[in-house]
Amino acid sequence: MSSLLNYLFVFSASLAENIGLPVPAWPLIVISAAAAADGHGSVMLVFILAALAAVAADYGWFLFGRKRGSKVLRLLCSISLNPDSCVRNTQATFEHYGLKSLLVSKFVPGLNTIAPPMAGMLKTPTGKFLLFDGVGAMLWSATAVLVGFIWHREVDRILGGASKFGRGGLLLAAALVGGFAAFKYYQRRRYYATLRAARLSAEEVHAMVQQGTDLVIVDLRSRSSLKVVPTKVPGALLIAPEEFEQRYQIIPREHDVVMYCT
Amino acid sequence: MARLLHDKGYASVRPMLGGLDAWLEAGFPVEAVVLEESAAAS
Repeated sequence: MSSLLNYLFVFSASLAENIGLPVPAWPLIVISAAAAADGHGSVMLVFILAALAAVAADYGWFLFGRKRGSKVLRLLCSISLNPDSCVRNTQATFEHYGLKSLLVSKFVPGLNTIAPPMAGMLKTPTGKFLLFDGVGAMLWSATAVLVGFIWHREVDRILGGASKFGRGGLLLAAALVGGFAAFKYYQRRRYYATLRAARLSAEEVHAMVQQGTDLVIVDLRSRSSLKVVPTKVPGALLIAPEEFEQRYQIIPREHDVVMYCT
Repeated sequence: MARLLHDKGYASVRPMLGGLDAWLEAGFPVEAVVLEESAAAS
């Protein structure tokens, strides 16, 4: 592998994962760093390129989040496997740790692609975002590069073993990756199908209210989203996700309950 | 959370598809949020 190819490889891997594609960039950076340590380029440059690609992708999401707000969050979460808990968990994490979550978000599946648009949605100043995101990206890149650098002989041996299988091995690996993606997709489809069956559309809820159905509507948005959109469905009870466990008793038991978030 | 309520003995708990965004997009009426409502009760 030439150095240039190695640089291109690590940059696209990091970019792809941070855009939100299901690419396992961290182990690929390890491989790239190991290759660099074996003479295919500079380890330092691998580190810089991986971090740079991550910040570039994050910055894109940050701008997008600032412009489109919660829609972006929903889009990203629809890519993840567990959309509902995805939005909830990310929001809770981000509210609790604030910008500091950008420092470690790369190591937390789910939080990775969602923290940057979240920061944009909450109108974080660009300089501050780039600082925290940059440090986070460098931490992430540095750990992978260090692992690849320290254990480059071992990485080489494993890869060398794999290459003995030649074309067949490559095809097998591609089939495994493809199968994994297909399986995840299938799982998500099924998850959505079960959710949809139990869900009410806004129109249905509106119609029920109009007909005078005894309905308890619960607004599950967190405090920060309430600030972003300070209106709610008329008569809805406000219960933030953080206080749900303590406060759910205020929901009357004898009525049908409808819940919503952003 | 719907599941949690269900486990606590609530008979019918359903999420609203599309959340508040869908409600707003359909142009249904809304009311202002008084932020203290959430803080005072907690």
